[in-house]
Amino acid sequence: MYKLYIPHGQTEPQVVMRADGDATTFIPFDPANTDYQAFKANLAKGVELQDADGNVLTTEQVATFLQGLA
Amino acid sequence: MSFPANPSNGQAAIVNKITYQYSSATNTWTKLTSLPTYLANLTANNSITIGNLTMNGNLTNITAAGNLYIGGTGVFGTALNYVPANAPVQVGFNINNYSQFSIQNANTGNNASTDIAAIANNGSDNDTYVDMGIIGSGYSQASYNLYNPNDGYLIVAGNTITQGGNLILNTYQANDIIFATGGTQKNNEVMRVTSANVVNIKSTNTSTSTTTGALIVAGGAGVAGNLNVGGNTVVTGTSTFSSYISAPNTFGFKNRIINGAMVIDQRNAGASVTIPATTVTYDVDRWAGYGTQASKFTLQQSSSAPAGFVNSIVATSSSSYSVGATDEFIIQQTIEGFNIADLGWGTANAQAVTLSFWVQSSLTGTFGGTVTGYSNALSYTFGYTISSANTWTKIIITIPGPTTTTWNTTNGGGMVVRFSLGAGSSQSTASGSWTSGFYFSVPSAISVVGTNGATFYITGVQLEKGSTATSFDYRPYGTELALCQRYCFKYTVASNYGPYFMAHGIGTTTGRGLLKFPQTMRSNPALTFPAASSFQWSFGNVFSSIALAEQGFDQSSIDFTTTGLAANGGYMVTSANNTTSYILASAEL
Repeated sequence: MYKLYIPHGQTEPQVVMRADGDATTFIPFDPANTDYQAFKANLAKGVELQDADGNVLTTEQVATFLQGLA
Repeated sequence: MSFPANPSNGQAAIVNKITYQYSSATNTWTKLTSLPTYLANLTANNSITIGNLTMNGNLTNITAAGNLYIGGTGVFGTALNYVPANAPVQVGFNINNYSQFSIQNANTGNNASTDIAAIANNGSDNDTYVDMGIIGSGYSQASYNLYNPNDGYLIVAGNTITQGGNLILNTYQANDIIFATGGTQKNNEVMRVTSANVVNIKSTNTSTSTTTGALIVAGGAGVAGNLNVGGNTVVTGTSTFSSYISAPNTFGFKNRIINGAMVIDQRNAGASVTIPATTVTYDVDRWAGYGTQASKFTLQQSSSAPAGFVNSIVATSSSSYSVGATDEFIIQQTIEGFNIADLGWGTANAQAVTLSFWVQSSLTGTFGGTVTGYSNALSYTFGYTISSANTWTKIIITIPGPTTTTWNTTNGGGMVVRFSLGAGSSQSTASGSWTSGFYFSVPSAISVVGTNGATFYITGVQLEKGSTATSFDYRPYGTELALCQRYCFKYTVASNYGPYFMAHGIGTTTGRGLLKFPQTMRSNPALTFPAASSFQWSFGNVFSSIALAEQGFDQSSIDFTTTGLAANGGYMVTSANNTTSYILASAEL
């Protein structure tokens, strides 16, 4: 499960959060980052994505979101 | 012997050791009791025919102006093809066999030899001559113990005044000087000095020490020009270089594997890691486990190691899993494209690499591994044998450079080195060539995950350019750590309120800090934090959240929420009464 994160003072998500047991990993939107590559691959497989407020994105919303990613 | 035909009046002849003189008046030969005057004083204009000449004394009265012909031009024989000038003594032959001018000293004494000597005008018996000869069979002289009985020799005795005395071997025309031993066949040639000024040592003897090989030099050797060595070079002394050194796999990052000695373990500090399904999971730095099934093996840093190493990584089978056709279980390291760019892979100039490593297993047999592209599906599988259980074995695999496909040479993955712990039939292919597709082992290789509790240790992994494995590149710890930190850096603290980074207050409940990385990372790293309550601002309150705000290759900005902050106030972020908190930056491949 992934959740988008909007940093203080910004309006759009810059990173995505992934729960790793008791820890949380914040993944930057960098195509060279393998966690980011895995994030996109997992979204394509249907893994759940929440917006910054915790709302689960629909399949269509995820597809739209993916199109906007690098 | 008969008398000569058509003799002239007064001509003498010696027949059967008796001297006769011819009289044309009577046409008879008369026995003489003494030599005629002209026979005793032969001049260039006289001639004499001798059948068999036996002498017990000296042959004298051949003056400086006269010539002695034996067998060749003159009264003693037929004309030769070539009559040399300035040759008072001429010997000619016309024999279809080896023709010899033979001399022999029949003496068997300890000082006897047989010599032909040419003596300079100022020479003597021990000075200024050249002497070709052979030692007698009874020779024994302590002061000349270089010579053994029946040795042949060619000696020049120099002159202490003129300083002459060089031995000159000269073909004069553009021909070679050839040295051969043991026979007269071409393969007996051991050295040739060619007319092109090349000294060619033909021997192919292998050198395994300073006293073996085709050329053995007891002292030093000076080489003014280039020195090209096709084989290996072993230097037991100190090497001093006064200019630049160019060596593809010897100096400076020759080992493309990072943390090949398994010394650095930032993430787990020696703790065991269970490998989940289909997720690359790192154990010691840069080394990850991967499996198509969950929890079939663990990885852990080990202190078991062969001589010269301190650590290894051990894979321990967690069950007796029978691998399916599409299963794969591996230990792997992905090498960044920048670090293989010089190999020229995917081009006609692709360079070979050599993979060497130490392995130990509780199992024996043929194990498998592979080198594959990261972004291309090209595999080179290899098999190797562990013959003795629980015994460290060094393996060397040479891999030709692939000339096809595109290999990443930037900050993405370049190639992946994998060691199989079990692979299904569709994941395996025969070793020894580059094959399209992703393959991870060789057919019928040992499956470590197939035996519960089976172990597989590996360390000293080195991948270097070239076809020769060299000694492991044991880099300084700080250097190895810095190399690892391009891919992963784990901030930890040693005290309960250990410092992490400096920050400022945005408002009373929100703040932002700057986290600087010790190395420029491969990509913008992902940051992992434990529970936010593990952190606090110094001498203040614990955090309720902590998150990555903006990311770069060299630093991150980190957001946090807490209480008691002042806008624009400066703060140090520390651990909150613990030493277990951390911040993990990962830009792994």
